[in-house]
Amino acid sequence: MIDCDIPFSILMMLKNQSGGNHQHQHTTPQQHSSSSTTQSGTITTFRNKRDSDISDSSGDEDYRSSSKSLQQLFVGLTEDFSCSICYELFDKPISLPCSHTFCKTCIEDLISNSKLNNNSNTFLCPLCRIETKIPEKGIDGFPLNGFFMSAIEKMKKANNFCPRFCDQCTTKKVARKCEQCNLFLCKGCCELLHFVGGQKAQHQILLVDSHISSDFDLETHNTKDSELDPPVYIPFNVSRSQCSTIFKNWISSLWFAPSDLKVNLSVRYIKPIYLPYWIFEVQTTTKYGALISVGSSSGSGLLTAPNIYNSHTKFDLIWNHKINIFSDKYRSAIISNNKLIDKDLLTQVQSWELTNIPSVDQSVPPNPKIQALAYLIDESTAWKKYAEQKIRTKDREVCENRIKSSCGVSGMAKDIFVETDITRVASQKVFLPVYFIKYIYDSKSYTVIVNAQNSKIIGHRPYAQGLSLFKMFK
Amino acid sequence: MMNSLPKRIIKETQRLISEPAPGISATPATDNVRYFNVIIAGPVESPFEGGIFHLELFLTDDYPMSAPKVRFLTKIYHPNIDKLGRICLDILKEKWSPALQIRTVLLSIQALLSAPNPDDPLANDVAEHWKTNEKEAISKAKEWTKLYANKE
Ligand SMILES: [Zn+2]
Ligand SMILES: [Zn+2]
Ligand SMILES: [Zn+2]
Ligand SMILES: [Zn+2]
Repeated sequence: MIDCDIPFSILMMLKNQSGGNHQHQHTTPQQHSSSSTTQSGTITTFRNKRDSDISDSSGDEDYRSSSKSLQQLFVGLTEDFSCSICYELFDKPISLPCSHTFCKTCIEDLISNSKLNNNSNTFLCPLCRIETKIPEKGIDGFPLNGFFMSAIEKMKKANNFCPRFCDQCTTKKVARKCEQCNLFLCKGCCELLHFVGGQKAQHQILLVDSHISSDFDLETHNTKDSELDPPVYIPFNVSRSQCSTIFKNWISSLWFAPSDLKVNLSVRYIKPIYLPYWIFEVQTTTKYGALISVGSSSGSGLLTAPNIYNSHTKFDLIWNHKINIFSDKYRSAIISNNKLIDKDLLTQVQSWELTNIPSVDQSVPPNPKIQALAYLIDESTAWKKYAEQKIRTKDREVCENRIKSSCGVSGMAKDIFVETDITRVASQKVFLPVYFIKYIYDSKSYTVIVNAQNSKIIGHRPYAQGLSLFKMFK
Repeated sequence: MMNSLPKRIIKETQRLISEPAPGISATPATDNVRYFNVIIAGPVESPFEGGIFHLELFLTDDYPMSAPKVRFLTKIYHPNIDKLGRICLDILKEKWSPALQIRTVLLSIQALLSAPNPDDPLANDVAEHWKTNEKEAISKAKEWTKLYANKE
């Protein structure tokens, strides 16, 4: 009757809590499997934290401990609003005449149980044992506790902003939920727990995206790729504390009052990340041409508005057929993992010029404590879907400008044609150093991205201007 | 068929292990989380002082609507506990309430060891003994404690 898999995982959890063999569990599966690279990578990220200012996660630490005490607060609150029968948050809370409150379904269970036992139309309140009459209308005769219901709704909402930590290791953010074990787990612990005696337990696992929970567990850089060129890592020019200053300046240059900021804004994290790009270095040979007139030498150019009196003045427009061939170089950078970047920020991030890219042989090794996001877009897709078109458009623009400038100030061009021939393409994987910042304002969460190469900052800001202006003057 | 363990049982178990009540330990069995191996230390200044008493506790499918089933595995000379280890305790029967929990049940059993109640007996001969000659009954209880509840 009872699924054999259940007890095991609970026990694992319990063993860990009583100081069991946690370490052992973390090390064992790494010896087994192919997927262990990601796992061990994540673990290192969490282990040595204070090597440099950049990877120093003290901010994360603060964030973690503050959100942990927040979580504890919620645990306390949750208990206050939990049914003493099922230990869950009240579900349709009803209040008995003695004023004790329980879930409707729990009281239903209780009634059907006591009817079985003594066939009466009363039951005892589980908390105070006062004999309680079952109303004539049955269970519906008990009033729903509307105050509790709305309080619970609000609490659940607020709780969404309190990140959950793994029930097992309690340090990593939740990424999975097991329906059978009824546990919220991080990716690593979930794999460990369900890998029992060399066999995978058949549990239903849900991916959980609890607020910011799985942000950075999403896709870490998979080290198995065997490209010809190793990726190039652009070094961090901006330290974590500098980044924090950049952010503060940016946010306080906004319209809201500084006092409002202090009270209502809280930074959830500042996280250094290597953002993966495909860089295409492209050589083009373009044939372009047009019919060009250099304008009249008499000076009353075509650009002056023709008035009625001189409209019939005859200009000798000399149209020259000009054809040119020009070779150009372009660079196009395509973000190849945009899962963490909101759609409306993507164009801005995409427009960042990647400069100072060291060549492969000058490349400095990456900071091993900083996560590199995985490449989700492969090279040919990046080229066909994004880069090629961008480069053709850019080349056309450049050539059109050349044509225009060769017309002189008052000249004209018509029958423009541009034929771009892409003669050489070289690609390179480049990791751009960035900081992801998440902050909460007015119980909404916002993303900011700082380019750690050139300090550029983009991000979301609260736009509820009316509201905030109102706050400012209050 | 229970396909998911009620949150209540998980929570109770977690708490039993992370914040155990003094003198009481309850551990779920490896193959069945509804079955607990319980150890209660004999309370000080009771005839059971120094004894280690093993019990089993089982949560039926309709727990918490019905009380957990608890039984002494260690032999004990007590007016409210019979030869089979069954316990005469109101909260395990008609006074059970779903607001009670494993912890409160075990604490009540511990209290029952401190204060035997021969007026509500389960083991009639023991209760009789307790009523007629309490001193002698207590020394027999001490003897049994040494004999049967000695560590193992
Ligand atoms: Zn309930
Ligand atoms: Zn009541
Ligand atoms: Zn974990
Ligand atoms: Zn599971």
